[in-house]
Amino acid sequence: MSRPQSWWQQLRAVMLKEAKQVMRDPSSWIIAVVLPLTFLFLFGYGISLDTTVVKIAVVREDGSRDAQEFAAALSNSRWFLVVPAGDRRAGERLLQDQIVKAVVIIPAEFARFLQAQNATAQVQVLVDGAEPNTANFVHGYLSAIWSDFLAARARQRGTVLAAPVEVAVRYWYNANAESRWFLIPGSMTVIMTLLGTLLTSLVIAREWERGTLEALYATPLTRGQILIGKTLPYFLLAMVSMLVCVLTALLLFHLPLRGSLLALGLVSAVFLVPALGQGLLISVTMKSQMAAAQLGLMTGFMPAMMLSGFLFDIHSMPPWLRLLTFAIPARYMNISLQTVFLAGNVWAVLLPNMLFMLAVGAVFFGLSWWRLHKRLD
Amino acid sequence: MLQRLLAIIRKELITMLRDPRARFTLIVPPMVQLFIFSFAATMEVKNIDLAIVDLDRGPYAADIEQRLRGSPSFTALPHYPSVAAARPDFERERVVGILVLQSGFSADLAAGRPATVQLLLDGRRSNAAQIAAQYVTVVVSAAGASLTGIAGQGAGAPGTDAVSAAPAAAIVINNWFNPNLEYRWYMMPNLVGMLSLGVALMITALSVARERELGTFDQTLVSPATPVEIALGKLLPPLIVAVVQATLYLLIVTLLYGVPFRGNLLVFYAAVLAFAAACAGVGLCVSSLVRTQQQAFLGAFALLLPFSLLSGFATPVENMPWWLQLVTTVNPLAHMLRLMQGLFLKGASLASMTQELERLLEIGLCTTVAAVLLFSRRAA
Amino acid sequence: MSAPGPSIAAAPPSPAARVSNLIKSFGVTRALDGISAQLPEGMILGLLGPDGAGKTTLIRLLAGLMEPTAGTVEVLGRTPSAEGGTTQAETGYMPQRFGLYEDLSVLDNLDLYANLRALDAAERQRRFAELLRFTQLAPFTARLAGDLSGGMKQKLGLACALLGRPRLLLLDEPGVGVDPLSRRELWRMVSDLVSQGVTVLWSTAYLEEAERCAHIWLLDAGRLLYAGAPRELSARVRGRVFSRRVAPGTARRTAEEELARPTVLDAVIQGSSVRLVAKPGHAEDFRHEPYQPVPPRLEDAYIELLGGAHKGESLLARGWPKPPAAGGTGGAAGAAVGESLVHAQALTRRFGDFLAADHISFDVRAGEIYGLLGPNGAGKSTTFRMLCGLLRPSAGDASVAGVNLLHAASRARARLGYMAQKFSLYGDLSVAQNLDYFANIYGLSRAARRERVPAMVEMFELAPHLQSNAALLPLGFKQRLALACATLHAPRVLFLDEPTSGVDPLMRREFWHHINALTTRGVAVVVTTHFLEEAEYCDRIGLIWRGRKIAEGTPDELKGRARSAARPEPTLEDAFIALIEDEGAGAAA
Repeated sequence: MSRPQSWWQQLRAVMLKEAKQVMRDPSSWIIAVVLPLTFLFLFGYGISLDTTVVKIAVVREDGSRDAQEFAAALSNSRWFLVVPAGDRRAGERLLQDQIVKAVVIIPAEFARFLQAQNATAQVQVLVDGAEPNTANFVHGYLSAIWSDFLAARARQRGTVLAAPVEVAVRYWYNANAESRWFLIPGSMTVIMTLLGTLLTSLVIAREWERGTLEALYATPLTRGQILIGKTLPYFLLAMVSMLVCVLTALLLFHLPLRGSLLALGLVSAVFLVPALGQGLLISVTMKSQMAAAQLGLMTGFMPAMMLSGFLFDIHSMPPWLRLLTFAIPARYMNISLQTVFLAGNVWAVLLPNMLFMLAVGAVFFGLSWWRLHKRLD
Repeated sequence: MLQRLLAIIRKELITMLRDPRARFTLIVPPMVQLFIFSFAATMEVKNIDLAIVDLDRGPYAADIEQRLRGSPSFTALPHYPSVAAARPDFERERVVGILVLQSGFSADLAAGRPATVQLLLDGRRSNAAQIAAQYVTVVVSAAGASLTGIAGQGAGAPGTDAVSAAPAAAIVINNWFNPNLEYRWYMMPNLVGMLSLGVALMITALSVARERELGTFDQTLVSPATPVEIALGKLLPPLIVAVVQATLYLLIVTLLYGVPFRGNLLVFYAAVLAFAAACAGVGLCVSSLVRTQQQAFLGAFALLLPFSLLSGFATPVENMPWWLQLVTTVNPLAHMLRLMQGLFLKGASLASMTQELERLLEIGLCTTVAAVLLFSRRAA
Repeated sequence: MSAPGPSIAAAPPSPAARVSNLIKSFGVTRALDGISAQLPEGMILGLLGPDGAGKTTLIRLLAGLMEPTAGTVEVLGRTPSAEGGTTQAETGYMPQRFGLYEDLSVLDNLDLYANLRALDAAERQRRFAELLRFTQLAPFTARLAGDLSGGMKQKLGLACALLGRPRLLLLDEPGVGVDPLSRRELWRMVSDLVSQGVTVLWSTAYLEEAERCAHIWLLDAGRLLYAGAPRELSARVRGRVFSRRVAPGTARRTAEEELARPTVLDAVIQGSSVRLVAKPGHAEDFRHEPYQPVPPRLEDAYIELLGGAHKGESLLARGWPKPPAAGGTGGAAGAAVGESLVHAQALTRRFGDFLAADHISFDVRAGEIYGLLGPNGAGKSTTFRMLCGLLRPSAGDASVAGVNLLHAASRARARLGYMAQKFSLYGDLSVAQNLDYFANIYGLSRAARRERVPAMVEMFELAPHLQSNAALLPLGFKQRLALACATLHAPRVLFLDEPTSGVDPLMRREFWHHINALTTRGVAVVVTTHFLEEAEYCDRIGLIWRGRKIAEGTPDELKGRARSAARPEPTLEDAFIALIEDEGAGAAA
C-alpha cells in the first residue's frame, strides 16, 4: 500500500466519523438548521431598521383654520399616527408614559402670529429623546411637514416662496433603501460564523471530555490529518446551510443577487477558512465543551453580531474599536456578501476582503497546528 | 424544608463563585461586553466620508461644502472630477455617498429658480445611508433657506449634529429625557436588560445538566429534599446573582457613563427580580428537558436569540408586523427594556411602570411554575 | 517455545518494551519516580498497584501519548512518538473508558479504526470477520456503541485496539465496571492473542486477574516495588496464610477480632470462613485448630508489601447513634434477627417494551449486608435505583425503614444513605462545604451538625484537606469523604453502588472495615458489585439476571449449588457463572 493512499484513507476515516457524529447529534441540527432559519426569518420579517409609523400626540390650543390645517397635515402624514390630547398636561403625560414618541403643541394665537409679517408662530414639539434614532426621524418628518404646510399656505395666498434647494436622494444598489436587503446578507454572516466557529469549537473538547481523544491519539494519525479531517465535514455542512440561506433569501425575501453564484460560493468558502480556524483554535485550547462553547459565543457570535457592520455601522465606531474589527473575519464577510448580493461581482472589493479572510484564517490554523500536540501531558 | 432549601442555595452559590475562573466568567465577560458594545452599538452615524463632485464651482456650491465641513458628522469630503471617478471608492465603501453639485447650480439659485443637488448613496449600508441622507438634507436646506431668506430658527437640539437646523420657521423642538440625543443613553439601559438575560438563562439552563453529567444530581435526589425544593434551590441563586450584577451595572452606567437614573430604586430592583425569575424559569424548563450540557447550552442559546431580537433592543417593536408584536408581549426582555428605559431616562410615572412590572411578574410566575412542575415530573 | 533453554538465558528475545530510569512529573508531583523494567515479548504482563500509583501514566508513556520528564522509553525497539506514529502503528491501546465513539454504531467504530490503521479492503474484511467472531459482536454491528452493555463495550474496545494486528497491546483497567462473566471472556480472548505472539500489558486493580498473568509489575507511589512472576511474590507469604471456619453469622466479628491481634497482618471474610495472614515469624501461633493452612494468594502478598491492612476500631461505628427500636440486635453475632429495614415487593420497571426489572422481591434486615449481583444490563442497577427512590417503579412496592418510598418519598429518603459508583460529590465545593451541604440537606439540627461533622473529619482524617476542593482530593480521600457524606445523618439503611469499583485491595479493606462495623450498629446495607471477593462480605446475595431474581442465599449456599465433581471448591465467581449458565440453559430449553 502506498503512503499517500493510506494517508487519504486515514483522513477520510476521520472525516466520515465526524460527519456521522454531526448527523446523529440533534444539537448540531439545532445549530445547522433551526438556528439559521429562525435567524433568517426574524431578520426577514421581524426586524427592520426603517422607522415606519410613529405615534405622536397633538395638542391644539388654537381653534383657527390654520391650526386645524396644520393638525390635519400631521394626521394625514403617513409617518405619524396622531393621538389627540386635550391639553399640554395630557400630552406630556402621554409622552412620559411611553405612549407617544412626541407631542406637537400648536399654541394659542398660532394663526395670529402666522399672519403677522414679523412675528414667528412657534409650534412647540416635545420629542422622546430616549431613543435617539426615532427622535431624529421625528425631527426630520416634522420639519418636512412644516415646510410643506408653509409652502401650501403660501400657494393658497398666491405668493410664492423663494425656491428652496431640493436634495434628490438616490440609493445605489438598494433603490428603496430597504433595510431587509442589507440585514439578510448580514445575518448570513452571523449564521456562517455560528456554524463555523461554534460547532467546531466543540469538536476536540468533546472528544477530550468523552475520553475518545486518547484512543485517537494512540493511532498513527498525524496532526494535519486531525485538523483537516475534523474541519472538512463542518465546511460542507456550513456550505449546505449557506445554500439553504441563499435560496430562502432569493425566493422568499426576493433579494436580488447581482453578482454570480460562483462569486457567492467562493466568498463563502473563503470565509469558512478563518471561521473554522477560529473554532478549531478554541477547541484545541479549551478542555471542556462548556468553556469552548462560551468562548465561541463570546469571540465568534457576539462580534459577528455587534462589530461586523451588520447592525451597527463600523465607520461610526471610535478608532480603537474600528481597529479591533480588522481581526474579526465576519467584518470582511459582511461587506463581501452585501457587495455580491446588491452590487455585483466587484472584484476590487471582494479580492482584498478574501485576502484578509485567508490571512486571518492562516493565523488561526497555524496557531491550532502549533497548539495541537497529540499528547495528553 | 427551609434548612434544605438554604443548603441547596448556598451550594449553588458556592459552585458559582468559589472557583476563581467561574467568578471571572460571571463578572468579566459581561463587563467587557458592556464596555465594547456601549461604543459599538450605536445607530448614530458619525465619521461620515462623503464624496463631492462639484461640477458647479460656484459660490453656492462652495457654501454648501463649507457647511458640511462645519458639521461634526462629516469627517472627510474628498473631491472627485466626476461620478465615474468617485465610483471605485464608493464601491469599496470608502465613502458612503456622492454629493453631486450640477453645473449651473449657483446660477439657478442666484436667478431664484429651484435648484437641485444630487445625492447618491450606498444602499448596501442603507441604514447609515439613510441617516447620512438626513444630515445632508438638513445641511443643504439650511443653506438654501439662508440664501433664499427664510429664517431658519431650529432650536432645542444643540450638538445633535446637523439635525438641529429646521428648514422652516418656528418649529421649536425639545428633546425630553435625553436632550442631546446621546445614543449611549439609550443603549446602556438596554444592555443592562440584555446582559442579565443571558446570565440568568444560561446559569439555570446549565446547572441541572451539569449536575446530571457529573453524577452529583443523584446524590441530591436521594436526599430527603423534595423536587420542588431542589427546583426552587436552582431558581433562587440566579436571582441573587442578577441583583448583584444589576447593582454593578447601575453603578457603572450612572457613574461611569453619566446616564441619569430618574426612576425609583425599588421599582428597579423589583423589575430585576421579576425579570431574573422569568429568565431562570425558562432556563430551568430547558434544563429539565435536556440531557447534556451541550444540549442545554444550545437550547438556551436558541431561545436567547429570538428573545433579544424581538425585544426592541436592536430595532423598535413598533416596526414589527403585528403578529411579531404579539409575540413580544410574552417576551420578558421586551418589558424589561421598557422598564429600564422608563427608569433610567424617563422617570416614568409609577402607574405606567406598574403595568409593565405586572406583566413581567406574570411572565415570571408562569415560567417558574412551569419550570417547577416540569422539573418535578422529570426528576421523579 | 522450542528453543533450547541455555540460549534463552544467554540472549533473551528483545523485549517488547523497555523503560529505564523513567521519571514523569506533573508540576511538583512525580507520577513515576525512576522506573526501570523490561516487558518480555509474548506474554501477559499484569500492571498493578493502588490508585494513583502511576499505572495509567506508564501506559500512556508506552502508547506515545506523553513524553517522559527524564529517562527513556523504548517500545518494539524504538522510541514512541506521537507525531509520525512509528510505534503507534504496531501498538494497540485501549484506554480506561474504552475510547469508543458512543454515538456511532459498532461497525462505524470498527470502520474508523480500520481506516486509521490504513487497512486495505481485503485485509479489513478478513479482520472484521475474525474479530466479530472472536468478540461475538456480529449480531450487534448496527447497534450504537453507547447502547452496548459494559462487557460488550469492553470487547468492542478490544476489537478496535486489535484491528491493526498490534505486536503490543496496552489495556488500561479493562475489567473496571464489567461483570465477572465478561471479564472471564476477555481474559480468554487475550490469552488467545498471546498464544499468537502478541505481548499484552494489562493494568488492573483486581488481584485475581493479576494472579493469572505470567509476569507482574507492582507499582506504588510511582516506584516499582516488584517485577516478576506473581507466584514468586505470593511465595513470600507461603506458610503464613490460614483459613478458619466460623459459625454462621459470626464471620464479621471473628474477622475483626483476628485482625485486631498484633500478630495478624490481614484478615478477610470468605463466606463462612475467615482468611488471615500472619506476620513474619508468627506463623507458629496459628498451627492449630481452628486454623487450617491454605495456599497463599497474590493478594496476601500484595497487602504485606503495602504495609498490611487497616487496623483498629471503626470510629464511624463508635460514634453511631443507637438505633431507636432494635437496640438489642446490634453486634450480637449479627444473627440476622433484626427487623426488616428494606422491603422490596414485586418491583417491576418497564422501559417501553423492555422489562428491566420483573417482580423482584426481597427483604434486608437490620445488621445485614445484602448483595445485588448480576451481569451488566441484567437489571440490578434498575432495581437498586428504584430502591433509593431515583426511579419510579412501574409496579410493585418498596419501603425503607418502614416508610413507603412511593407515598412518603422524602421521609423514606431521610433514612437512607447512598454512595454512588463514581465519585459524585460536588467537586468544586471544598470538603468542609460538602459536609456542611449534606448535613443540612439531610436536615441535621445545629447540635447534631456540631457533633457529627467534626466527628467525621476526625475519624476519616480529613482535617488537612478541609479547605481543598473535593475534586482534587486523592482517590482514597474521595472515597472517605463520600462515605462520610452518606453516613452523616446516621441512616438506618445504606445503599452502595459498586462502592469499590477500580479500588485497590488495601483501600477496599479500609472501606469494608467501616461498613462491617456499621452492621453491628443495626444498619442494613444493600450493595451492588462486580467484584466477587467483595460479595463474600455479604450475608445474603440476590442474583439478578434478565430482570429477574434467579437465586438468593448466603455466599456458601450459592457456592454449594455450583459444587460438582469437577469443581469441589468453587469460588463465588464460579458459582455466579454456573448459576447464570444453568438459567440460560433452562431458558433455552
